[in-house]
Amino acid sequence: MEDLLIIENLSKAYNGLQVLQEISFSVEKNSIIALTGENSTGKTTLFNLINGFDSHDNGNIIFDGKNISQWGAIARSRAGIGRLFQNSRVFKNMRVLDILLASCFDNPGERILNYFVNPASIKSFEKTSRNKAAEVLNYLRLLDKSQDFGGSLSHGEKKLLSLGMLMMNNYKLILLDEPFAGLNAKMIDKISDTLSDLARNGQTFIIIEHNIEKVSSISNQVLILKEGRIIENNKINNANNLIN
Amino acid sequence: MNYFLHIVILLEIYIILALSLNMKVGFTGLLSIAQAIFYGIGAYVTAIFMVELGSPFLLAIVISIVVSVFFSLFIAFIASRLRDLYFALATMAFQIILYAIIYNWTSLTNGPYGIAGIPQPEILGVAFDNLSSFALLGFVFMVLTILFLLWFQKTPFSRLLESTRDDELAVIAMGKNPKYYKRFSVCISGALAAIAGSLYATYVTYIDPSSFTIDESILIMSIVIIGGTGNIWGPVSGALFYILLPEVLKFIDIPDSIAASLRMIIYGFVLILIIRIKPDGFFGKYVFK
Repeated sequence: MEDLLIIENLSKAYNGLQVLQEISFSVEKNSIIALTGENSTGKTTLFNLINGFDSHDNGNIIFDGKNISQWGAIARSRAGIGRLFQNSRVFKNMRVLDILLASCFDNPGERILNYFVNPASIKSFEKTSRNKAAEVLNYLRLLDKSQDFGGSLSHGEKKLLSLGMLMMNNYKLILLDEPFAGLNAKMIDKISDTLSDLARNGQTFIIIEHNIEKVSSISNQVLILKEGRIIENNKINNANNLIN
Repeated sequence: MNYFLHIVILLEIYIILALSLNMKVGFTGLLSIAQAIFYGIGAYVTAIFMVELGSPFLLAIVISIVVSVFFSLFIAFIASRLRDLYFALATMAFQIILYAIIYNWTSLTNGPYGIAGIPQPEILGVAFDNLSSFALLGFVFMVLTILFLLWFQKTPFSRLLESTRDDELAVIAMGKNPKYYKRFSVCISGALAAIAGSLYATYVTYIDPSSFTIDESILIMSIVIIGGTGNIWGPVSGALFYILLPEVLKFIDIPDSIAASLRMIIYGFVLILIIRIKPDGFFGKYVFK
């Protein structure tokens, strides 16, 4: 299977404190990788380095055959790296439907000139996006919330909406930072089902998760971080033993 | 009747002004304390071009928009580097610096003496040289501004301004550049404030720096916050409140010696009350914090 992401000897230090040391691993296309480990082992930092929110000190990040080490977060997102944050970052003063519509890539309405030279393209894109947003909301069972404000949703609904924002675009790789944290059992099942569905359709994920039982039911591979290093990189059936 | 028309004209100008600030504060979350200076740029550029160069009103208003947008780019530059209160402080500094320039550049602005004899507008041979015709002109500009903003807030671009206001980091994660949206918002805001300034200069026919102080910027901000940010009707209602309440208070029978001070106390008290009872303003969509 072809590698979608290759991390080579990635290191990061803050004020002399080495947070990540010589991290190397690869992610195959259409796979789900679980990234786990104790608190403060550098999991979220690794995500920040992959999606470009932070820059690494050494090493390389190869994504879809291109070395993106010097690219910024915007370029990496447009190249196909999406991210779901631990604390959902939905736009709290916007309506759910508008949040999804704002997430779309390549909207001609983002360019002022198009309002004068090609207004038809904006109208057509808007129509297509609205249909897609309705499909996504229906799939996530949030259709009845489409006119609610993002800030009024429950924690679980915000996580679902964040997934919906990612589903509006065809991200090649999605980084999920503790998607099940703080959720009740029902919502965990709902999100887990959604992720499994997306995975079946060929979506590639890296998931940070402490709930190893839950994540093991949907992952192909587990990476365990300890003190900024990968101490294990194994297939899922060994994961519970590794953690214990 | 003249008194009524005067109030109407002020209302029209302040509605445009409040809507201009709402573009920054309400749509993009940029707390700016420099709106009076863009209002002043509009007024001064219009006055200079009409008085010194004999420009027609429409040309003067277009040039004032261009100049205001040019200066807005400085604010846009600040906006792309600073956030929240740091941005607000930087705009305050911008207001103070430009005010000092207007006050001291006497060869251009006539400094504290101001510019007198500004011609009243004339468009295609029609002179707007009395209160009723000027009120009509102001109404046209106000309605055009409102229509533009009603259209704008339904565009995909408006959504991106709002998403930038709510969470800049999430916008970056979505592969979009929030700096671009901030720049646009600041420039449109400056352009609308310049229109209000042009109308003001040609209405009062005399301007001096005292109309464009930091106090005026704070006042414009309070109009927007009282009315509510993030939609059109908030700033409109805020302007109505700001212009009409002092006029209503004039009808209260108060001894002349203390009337002015007492009215201001009542006005201030009502403002505090509104902010306490309705922190998101009359029609606020977005609570600015």
